[in-house]
Amino acid sequence: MKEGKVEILLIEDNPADVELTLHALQKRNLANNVKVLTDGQEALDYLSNVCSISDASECPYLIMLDLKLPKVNGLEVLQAIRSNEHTKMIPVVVLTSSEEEKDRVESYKLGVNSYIVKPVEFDSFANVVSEIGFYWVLLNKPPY
Amino acid sequence: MNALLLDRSGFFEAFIKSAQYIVRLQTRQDIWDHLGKLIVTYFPVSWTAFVQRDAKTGISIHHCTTADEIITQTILAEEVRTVISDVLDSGFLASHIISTPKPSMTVFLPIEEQGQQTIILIGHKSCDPISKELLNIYLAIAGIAASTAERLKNEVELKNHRAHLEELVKERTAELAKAKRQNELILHSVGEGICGLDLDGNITFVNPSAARIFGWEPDDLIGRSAHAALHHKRPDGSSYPVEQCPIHSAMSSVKTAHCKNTESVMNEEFVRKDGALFPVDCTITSIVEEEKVLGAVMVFRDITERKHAEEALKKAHVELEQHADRLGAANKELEDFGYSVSHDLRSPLRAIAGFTQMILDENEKAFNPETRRKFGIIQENAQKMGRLIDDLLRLSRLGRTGLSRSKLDMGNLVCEALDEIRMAEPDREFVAEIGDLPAVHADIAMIRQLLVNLLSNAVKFTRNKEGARIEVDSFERLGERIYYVKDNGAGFDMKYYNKLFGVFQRLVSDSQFEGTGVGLAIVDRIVQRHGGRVWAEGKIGEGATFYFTLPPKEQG
Repeated sequence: MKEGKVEILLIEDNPADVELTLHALQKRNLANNVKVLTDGQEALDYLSNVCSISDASECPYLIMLDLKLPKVNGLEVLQAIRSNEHTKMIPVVVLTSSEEEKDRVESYKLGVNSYIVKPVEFDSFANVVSEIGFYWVLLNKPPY
Repeated sequence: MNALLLDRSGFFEAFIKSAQYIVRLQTRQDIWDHLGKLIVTYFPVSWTAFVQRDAKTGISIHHCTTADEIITQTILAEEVRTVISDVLDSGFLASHIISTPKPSMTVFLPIEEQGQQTIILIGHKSCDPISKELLNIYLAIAGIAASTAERLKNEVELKNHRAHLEELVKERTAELAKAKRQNELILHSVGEGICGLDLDGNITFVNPSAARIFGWEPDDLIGRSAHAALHHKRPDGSSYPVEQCPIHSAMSSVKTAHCKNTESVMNEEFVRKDGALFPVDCTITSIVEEEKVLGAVMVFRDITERKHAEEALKKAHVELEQHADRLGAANKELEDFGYSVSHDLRSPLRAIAGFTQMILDENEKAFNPETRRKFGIIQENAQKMGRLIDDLLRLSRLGRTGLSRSKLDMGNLVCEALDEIRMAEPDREFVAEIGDLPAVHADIAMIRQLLVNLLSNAVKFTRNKEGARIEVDSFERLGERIYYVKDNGAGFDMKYYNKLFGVFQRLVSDSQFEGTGVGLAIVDRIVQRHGGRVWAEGKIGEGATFYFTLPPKEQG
């Protein structure tokens, strides 16, 4: 594992949720290689910088994506990621408060890898987040 | 004697005249009478008799120039009858000497008529043989008699035929008169105005309805130009040029001109006698005979009332649309609200619960049990708020999402719901009895929710009961399938029944049985969405039964 490499890109605008997420990831020692971005446009700019065809090594192993984001919302970010040749293979997990069917169905239509509703209860939330991190970063083999 | 007879000057001429007279006679009886007299007068003959075959007596005498009974008896005597029969059969002239009682030469002269044969018996004064000339004259007389009889017969037939024809004509005339009366009756009774027009567009006929609608007497309209009388100005008061008049165009075209009063194109209005305009639904049809236009029929109806009704309907429609728009906007707002709630309301709760936990985790030893208990209350309430929000969202989604019906195995769904509940509370002990539950045609997600809510209620309220029992069954009443979930739990007081299905309405305190007060409201909404009914019976301490129906299709 390369030191300083961004393994998880967390796109989340709520600072409390960011802190809780990082806290949960800490349990699996995954919090150090997380990059947090708080709006959709910023995230897309970042990805277009780090991901290129010649060198995919800087691409994150996982994107944790909230749906409610300023400027460019989560679904739009997901669509942009999937329609960009350099980023379309990055695993994306939507991590949201929304149980709305239209959000869920639309996410899958756009090619999300997983759709998780954040539990209110902290233990459950912490478990879910750390499991996701563990699964996608440590267990799963990325495409590049 | 014969030669002498023919030589006599003037005698022949008289005979011809007599014969010509006979030809003009009108009855058979007259013919026989005059013919017999003619023969007796002009020839050496003492008597003549006309005989015919008779079905009853064989031979009958129809006319005789003599009243001498001896002669008639002789004719009917066997000997003469045989001769008569032979002549009738053969049709050939014959002559015999018969005694009357004086022997005399008698000629049997057949007269051929269609369908009937007559023989003239000519009794001569002597027994001299008959000369060839006289026989020829007799044959000519027979010919005259035959053709005259034929003419008579034809005349009678012709007369009969004429009478029959006259009868027929009378019948047909009566029929025509009846049909005409009927047509007139229809034209006079019909509610539509009907006008007949000639080629120049002048009115030739007006039915009473047309006259009434226009306010004119029928006689005042006949002969006038329809356009000038009824159609000369537009709704805006300007004059209507005759070239643009559909009445007029029907005249020049074999086609039918429809001037249906639709607001888009024609907007035809006719003018009353008093100058007032009124909208019409009008059809003008050309009268065509052998590809030639003879005129037109204009059928129309005053549609003022229909117009008013249409306008009222249109207004109501516009209002309805506006209402629907407002409703749509309100619905959209509600949807947006639900969506926002779903995202925004839960995050702060997660922060409250999460950070409390983090404080507890990081300072495990710093807090005394009392402080820890209070932190616990914060967390519990955050979670409860979360459940409340989830339930509310579920309730609001019920109103927003469409119903997608399919055939559902109710027994299966009940088992699944019970499994789910048992999994959440593995230590709870209760007996579930599942009866006959016929399939329903309903939305699977909603029915799942309904069953989970009713069954988890039943499980919850039997918590303090020894031998907790839950019964799920159905029965039919008045052709309607009624499902029910029955428990022997805490029950409820029927006094508060009206609050049972209300949102946030609870009949028990949280310390007894926790809950959000939304579960039964969701049940109520689900059943309503399916067009069914839900109701309940309960008694404190004895249990509750919840009934519901799910009609196969929305009623009303």
